[in-house]
Amino acid sequence: MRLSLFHEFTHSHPFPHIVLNNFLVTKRANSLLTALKSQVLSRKSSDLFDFLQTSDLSASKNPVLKQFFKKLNSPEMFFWIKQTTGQSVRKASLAGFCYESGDYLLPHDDRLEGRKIAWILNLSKGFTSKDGGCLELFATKNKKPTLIMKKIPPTYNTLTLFKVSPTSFHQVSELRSNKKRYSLGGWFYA
Amino acid sequence: MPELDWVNSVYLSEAGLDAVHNAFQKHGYVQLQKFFTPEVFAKLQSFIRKSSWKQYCLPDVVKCSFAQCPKKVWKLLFSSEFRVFIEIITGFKSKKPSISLCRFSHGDYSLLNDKVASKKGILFEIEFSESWNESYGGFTSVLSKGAEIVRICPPQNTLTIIQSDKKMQSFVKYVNHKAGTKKRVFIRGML
Repeated sequence: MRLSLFHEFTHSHPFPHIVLNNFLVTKRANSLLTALKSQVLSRKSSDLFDFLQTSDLSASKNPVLKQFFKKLNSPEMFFWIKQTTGQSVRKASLAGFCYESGDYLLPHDDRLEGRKIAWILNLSKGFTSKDGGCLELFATKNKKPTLIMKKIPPTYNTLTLFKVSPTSFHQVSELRSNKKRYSLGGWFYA
Repeated sequence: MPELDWVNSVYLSEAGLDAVHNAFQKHGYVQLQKFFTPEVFAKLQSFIRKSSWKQYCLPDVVKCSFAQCPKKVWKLLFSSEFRVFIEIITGFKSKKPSISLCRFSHGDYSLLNDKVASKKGILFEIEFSESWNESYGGFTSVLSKGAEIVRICPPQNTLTIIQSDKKMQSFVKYVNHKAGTKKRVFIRGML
């Protein structure tokens, strides 16, 4: 099982990533969605994006989010990340996101000091391709993004991991319906 | 005052020029609505409607369409009369403008680019969009030291003039699905 995940991660195109369906026990995913919806989400807007985001949830007093953050930053989690991605990590961040109609995130590579693995736990229900909101991965040429090679729909309780690198260009396609795309996400750091 | 019979006479009177000059000096930018005379604007619009657009996409930089600027428009903007007009308003003596005719449709955008340095001069945009709404995105956001100083999303036939320096950056906001089939069309120039 471990070898299979690592093999899948490292051999994925256009850059190392993995998508794990039904990642958590459903009850746990449901509790996280409820906890996320209870948080204050503020609009973040720039040239690159338009969406709602929580503050840094590392110090959240919500018991469900507090426990989740603790699990993310446990030795067991770091070990599993190492087994799955090959990357040694020692810290994880946590924030919540909500995309509404018209919201988007344009192409970028996520590269910032210390970021090794990006993680996204989708908590959106009932999305179809018409709704938008897919995580889209770009092929690159000379470390510049070219065409979209893979589209990952926002399926409920799916964990996506990808390796942050000069070629990890990705975007979230625009939300075209009135549904709300909820997710938790962050990075694992060296 | 230069001979500019293609410009709204409101901007050519002494009082009009003074008001525009003072507004520019105070804010660092000015927007002149109904800039061209109606007849001239209608002609320019018809030329632009016949343009052949070519899509240009560098996903981490820009996605939009460009077209060759119609000769008639080119002649007006490259004229010495137009340069003198800009000089009176801004106090900036320019040589020749560089101009591009741009079109942003649903899904188009441009991103801030640290690798492209702004320079000292005058940035201008001439709006040709029909009934554009800021809620569609597609507006030009001009920033200085990271903060927005002006958002260009004016009615058609508006000339926006902005003082540019090395600290200035700009981007065109992503055009979302609310725009439908509408397109933001404008000429962007640098003096």
